Amino acid sequence: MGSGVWSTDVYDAADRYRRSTGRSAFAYSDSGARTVHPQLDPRGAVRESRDSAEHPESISIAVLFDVTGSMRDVPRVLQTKLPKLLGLLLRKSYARDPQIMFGAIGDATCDRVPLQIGQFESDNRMDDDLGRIVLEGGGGGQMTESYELALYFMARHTEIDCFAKRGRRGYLFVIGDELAYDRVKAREVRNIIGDDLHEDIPLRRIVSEVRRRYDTYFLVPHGAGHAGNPKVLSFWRDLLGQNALELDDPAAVCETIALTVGLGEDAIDLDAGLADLAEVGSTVTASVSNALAPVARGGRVLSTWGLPGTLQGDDRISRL
Amino acid sequence: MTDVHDAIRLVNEAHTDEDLFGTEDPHRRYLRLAAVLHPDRVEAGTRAAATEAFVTLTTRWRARGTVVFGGYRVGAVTHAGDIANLYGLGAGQFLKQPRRPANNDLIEREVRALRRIAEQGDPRYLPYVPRLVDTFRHREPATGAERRINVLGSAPHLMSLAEVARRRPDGLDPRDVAWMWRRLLVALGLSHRAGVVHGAVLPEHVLIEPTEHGVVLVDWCYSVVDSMDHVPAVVPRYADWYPPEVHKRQIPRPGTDIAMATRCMTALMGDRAPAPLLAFAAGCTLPSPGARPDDAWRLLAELDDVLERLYGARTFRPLHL
Repeated sequence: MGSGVWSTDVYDAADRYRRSTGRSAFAYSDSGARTVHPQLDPRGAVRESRDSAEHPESISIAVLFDVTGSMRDVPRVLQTKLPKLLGLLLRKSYARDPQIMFGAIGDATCDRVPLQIGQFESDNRMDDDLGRIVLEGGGGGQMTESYELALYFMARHTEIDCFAKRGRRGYLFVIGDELAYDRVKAREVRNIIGDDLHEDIPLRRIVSEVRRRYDTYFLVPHGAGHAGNPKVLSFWRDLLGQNALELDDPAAVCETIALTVGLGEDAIDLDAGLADLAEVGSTVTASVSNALAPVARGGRVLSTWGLPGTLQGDDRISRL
Repeated sequence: MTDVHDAIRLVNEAHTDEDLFGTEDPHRRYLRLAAVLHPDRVEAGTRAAATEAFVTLTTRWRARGTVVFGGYRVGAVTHAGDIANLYGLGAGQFLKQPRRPANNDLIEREVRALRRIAEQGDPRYLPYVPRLVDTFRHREPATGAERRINVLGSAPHLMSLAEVARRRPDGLDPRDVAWMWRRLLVALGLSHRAGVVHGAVLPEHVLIEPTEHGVVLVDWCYSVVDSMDHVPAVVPRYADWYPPEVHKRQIPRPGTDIAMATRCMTALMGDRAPAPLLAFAAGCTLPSPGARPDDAWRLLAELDDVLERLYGARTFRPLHL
């Protein structure tokens, strides 16, 4: 997976087709499906984002969003905004070989489809995944969703070359408005992902595992049910620090993602990125600016030949 | 090559050290060029150009064998640690680069920890930890491999406890260990109050300044800030120096560092440790984290008490290694 070249035109064609046939982008869900689409089933799956001749320096970007009822129409807003911003990512050279994956998060304690995970793709096939997502509309009603299960999948069931080969972390954006459960439950992992896990994993441990491979962000869009609740943001700030962001405008989610990647790849600084957005006619630059201002930058990037001496030799540590 | 104009041209046009100094006998070539270009030896008409070339020549000679990297003049690897190479920059500064990009996260942990301590720690005790001078990412153009690099500063002329132990295989006089122990507790008190647990207090990471009795706790790559997670990795050759909670991947506490620091001290004293200090150490290294002391400052007062009862009032005791 992960091959192909993104084409906004191809997406537009698909979108025009969908509109002319009156089908929503969430066609699978709107057709009444209530089980996970086979393409998105996390059971026994490993999602790979690999380098190829076409994409020699792949960078993995995963966007997982809460599709329970409290999110209201945010998932639909997201879907209509994504193609333009992915084009932006390429046109502005924010990332050279982005490979993008979409997924959806529900509540494993009560939903029928608690986790849906697409493939890493570098063309509009990712939109097909988006169309297959079942919108839950359920949720636990106690302000907690199974975000930890999604983090578990990302930590242990994805293989990304950008990290494995080049030490560059991928990007993981989780969009939601609630808290995670305090542990990854072995039983849920067995039932939904299929791993034979013998003990629960504390949330903090899985967060630190996933953050080693992915620069991880939690976005809380206004307009979602619990967005105004300070408990949600402080919960995620406690876990992710400044990478827990609040968004005044849900339509700004995609711009924020593109710019965050551009900043992380050191392709751009915040002011130049905001100018780029204004240039392409984005009306949400203020929201993006507010959200990203506090994000700690990775510092300058030096691109030169290496140091004298040797980088040969392994490390002498053992990971816990 | 005795003509001053040839020499000026050579200095101005040479790209590499080999161009300038040759490969056969670089030092001899340098001396000859310097002699030709020396301001005292050239005529007034060419003096300005010659002097400029002379300065370039001597500067390049002094910098020979180093490269400029991220604005730093970097020489050879002076220390190869468990995950990173350290390049000396002079004046107690080092540039630290992980050998494997997969360990970037550990270098970032050091950044977070040192920033936190610098922001929230008591400024009087900041010399007990390294200063984060700079941090940036290096990308190799050929492979795209990215490495997080830290530039760290501390007092010059430091020596690790591992080196001390090598020089004194029969153990160190407990009175010499006493000041190290006291100061190590200061370093821990400083960082714990700022919400940082070091996570790897091992002989290689405790540096001393023997003449002034300084202690610097280095390598914050395994640290945990605000109880965010567990210690990310252990150094296998010291596996039994870590208290049980580290191996169990539980969140470390100040008592985790205190137990490891204590272990360093008893190892340093070896058989020369007196019973009261051994008893004190035993009380700091109990397997259950809850049973261990967790306040380094308070423990320092207790240690002072034990030391005073053993040796009387404190006096400065020079350490000769």
